[in-house]
Amino acid sequence: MLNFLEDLWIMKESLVIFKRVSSEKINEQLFGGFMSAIESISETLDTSGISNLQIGNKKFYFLKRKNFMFIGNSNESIKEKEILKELNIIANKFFNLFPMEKFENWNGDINSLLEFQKHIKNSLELELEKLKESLW
Amino acid sequence: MIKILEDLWIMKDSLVVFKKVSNEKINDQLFGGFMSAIESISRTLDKSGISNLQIGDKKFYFIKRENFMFIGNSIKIVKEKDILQELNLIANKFFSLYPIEKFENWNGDISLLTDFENYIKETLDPSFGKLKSSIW
Repeated sequence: MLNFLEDLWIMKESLVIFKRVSSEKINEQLFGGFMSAIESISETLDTSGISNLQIGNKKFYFLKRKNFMFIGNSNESIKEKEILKELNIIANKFFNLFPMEKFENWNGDINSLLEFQKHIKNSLELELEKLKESLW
Repeated sequence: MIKILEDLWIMKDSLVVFKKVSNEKINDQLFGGFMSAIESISRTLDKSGISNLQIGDKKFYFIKRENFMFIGNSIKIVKEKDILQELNLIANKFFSLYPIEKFENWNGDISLLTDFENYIKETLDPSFGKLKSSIW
């Protein structure tokens, strides 16, 4: 099935705390360090930091909430507003399930976040009709 | 005056060999190292590497020729095809003035390239009419 968001990473500071990746090409913590470094240097150029980047035919979008970063990628032909809408829905779901207070004295155990996968199934596996709508 | 390309950097490997920056916010060699690191890690994800990124309301576009990278930025409403056309013109001019062979045993003296600015004045300072046609 075609996916709307192909991959998703959720980062807290420079640590990847959740991921759903269809074809892993890079170690997640290397990816996290890379994205974190990009964000950090981007903030030198503009306080809002990075919002998207394109590698090959994939576009990566960044959504920031507090010290969390939600990164999703998709084919370049998908409209930006659709991807951002999807990322916002995912971020809202995430904080509904795992409120910010949970992370105040968090021990860094990312296993407690694994169940998030089943809550975002719909977001990551859109029906073909929805994908078509976003293309045309 | 509003320009299609606001800033331009030309890099050879990770070294910035030429720049024309309207409002410098970051040291050029730090910028060069940053862009080089992005390109290097991006290639792990896709062999074509990075093609553009957006920081704040600025979009940065990359074109690569041999081991040179031409990076230009502009406000995000300017059409991608116009930015890339501009960057390609600049790259063509650069290599017609400084053929690739010049860099084979190059001592790294970037002062030899400072006169390049005279050749791209028109490209970096177009009339507003040209900018308008690239937006609408």
